[in-house]
Amino acid sequence: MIGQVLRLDHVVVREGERTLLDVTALGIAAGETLALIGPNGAGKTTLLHVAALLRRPDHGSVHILGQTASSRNAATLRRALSVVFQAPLLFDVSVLVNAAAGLRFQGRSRQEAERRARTWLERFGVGHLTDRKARSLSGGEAARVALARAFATEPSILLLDEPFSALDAPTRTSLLPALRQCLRETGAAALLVTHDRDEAFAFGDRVAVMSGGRIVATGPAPSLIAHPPSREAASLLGVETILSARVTGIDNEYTCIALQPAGPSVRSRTSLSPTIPAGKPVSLTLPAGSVQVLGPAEFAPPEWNALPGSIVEVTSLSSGARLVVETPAPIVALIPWVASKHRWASGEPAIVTFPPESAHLIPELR
Amino acid sequence: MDDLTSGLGEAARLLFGGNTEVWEIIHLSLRVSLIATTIALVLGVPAGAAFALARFPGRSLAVGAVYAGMGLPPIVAGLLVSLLLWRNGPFGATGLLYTPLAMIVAQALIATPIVAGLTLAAVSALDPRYRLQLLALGAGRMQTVWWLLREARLPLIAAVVAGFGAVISEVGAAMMVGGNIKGETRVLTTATVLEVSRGHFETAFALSFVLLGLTYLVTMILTLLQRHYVRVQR
Repeated sequence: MIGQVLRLDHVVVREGERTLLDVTALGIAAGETLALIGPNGAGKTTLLHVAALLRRPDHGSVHILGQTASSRNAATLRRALSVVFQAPLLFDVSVLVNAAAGLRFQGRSRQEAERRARTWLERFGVGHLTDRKARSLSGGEAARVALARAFATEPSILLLDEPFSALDAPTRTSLLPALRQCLRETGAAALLVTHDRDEAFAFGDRVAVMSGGRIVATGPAPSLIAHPPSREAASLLGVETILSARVTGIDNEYTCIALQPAGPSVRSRTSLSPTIPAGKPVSLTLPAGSVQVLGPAEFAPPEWNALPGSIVEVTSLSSGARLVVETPAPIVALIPWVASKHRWASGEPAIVTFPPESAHLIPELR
Repeated sequence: MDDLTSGLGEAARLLFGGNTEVWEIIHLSLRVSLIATTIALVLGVPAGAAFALARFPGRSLAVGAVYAGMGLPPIVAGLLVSLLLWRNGPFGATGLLYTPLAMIVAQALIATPIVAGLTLAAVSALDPRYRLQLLALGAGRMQTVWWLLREARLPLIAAVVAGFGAVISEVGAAMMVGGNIKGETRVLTTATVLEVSRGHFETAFALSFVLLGLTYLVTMILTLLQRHYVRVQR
């Protein structure tokens, strides 16, 4: 693909009988940020190691800046990359020596390496720590130094393996925008491996979802959440309402389904094939943010689905109230605090309402 | 107990009473042990690092051999060197047996597996991700090894101290390949053995105190060097 700075083609990594990674194709364009999410053991770190040319795949190829990586050119191609691991992995020397290490390995003079390292340490707000011993830094400071060290070599591609996972929320919140800003200014592409969905959605132009060594979905976060390609992808993307249903009818605009077992009828704008037979099993996915909950006397907007039920669970989150409404199929709604008119309580009757556009259907392969 | 206290006095008299023979013995002991430790360092550190970092068939056997070598009895090392340097041995023509050089060879043979084994353990104990980080930063093979050794410098100093301690205090090999010849190959340990065999316990204690003091001094210097190094890196 033209314009891709990093590409993995039919990459397979095995460990004994176990397949750790089986990626048909994954590419990152120049200047693009891709966030890779998935549960523990999904193969995210293995993929990052392969992309960083730190692990040779058993099958397939890795292409960096248009060149196919091999044992002969790996050391040269690695200089186009910078990797930041989960732990900052700073060496037991001064902050400045750490930040200048990559440049020194590239053969730059000490003076030039330290000058550029100082610039990047300043950028990440740790310029005053240059003479400190790296091991004496706090977690947040060490993470900033690790990022400065990664940017100092001016890489074309930055590979980040959960670099913020050990940090507290305020530090993480302050570092992520700084990182994005630096990526924008340098034009470097980035691959962020994380198990934090919010971090992935905030960071990536695109999100790739991994499970069992495979990539099960890729795309911009809003479109993936609204239209996940599979139940598994929906679940990994944090979509909580994933229900079994059967097609009851299809017209030009809507697909009508009945939630299983013996649940209410729902209309969806997902266009399934018109030849799809009635009774065909499908899965309904519904992002919590697209669901509204009304009191029994309120009216849903016209054309919207409206399912009466009762609230069975109320959880207070930082972003709003998470409600589970039994219709009897359980539907999860996230009501932002500002939009919440009621203080919902468990056992209250309620009407769940959502537009047909947000009711996404996935045909089941049975 | 009397021997012990009078040994301290004797030690002071030997050192500061104008006895040149003791100073010659100290000088030779230091020379032989320091050179042997340096050789062990030059051979043992790269070997230990290579065994820790390289993957090759038979690595486990090689690592096992290094660790077994750490327990090599000095008398066995002395015997090996004696056989090699014996008149009819493969290097008999060199005429090195009963010379300080033969003692250096034997002591280097004792210290090298100690330094290599402790280096191997020190580098193996490092977080393996440091190696990945170095590779990711574009470090070449030698740069990677150097940075990892630097990372393991504290246990490496301990390896040097252990190697030096093993050779300065050993007596079997020094006796076997050096012969304890007065003015030529007599070192503190062989001299102590001789004094004990003569029944001169005061002198034997005196020499032991000197040996202890010497070991402490060298270890102290290495520790100070290490602290200085750490300060410089800050």
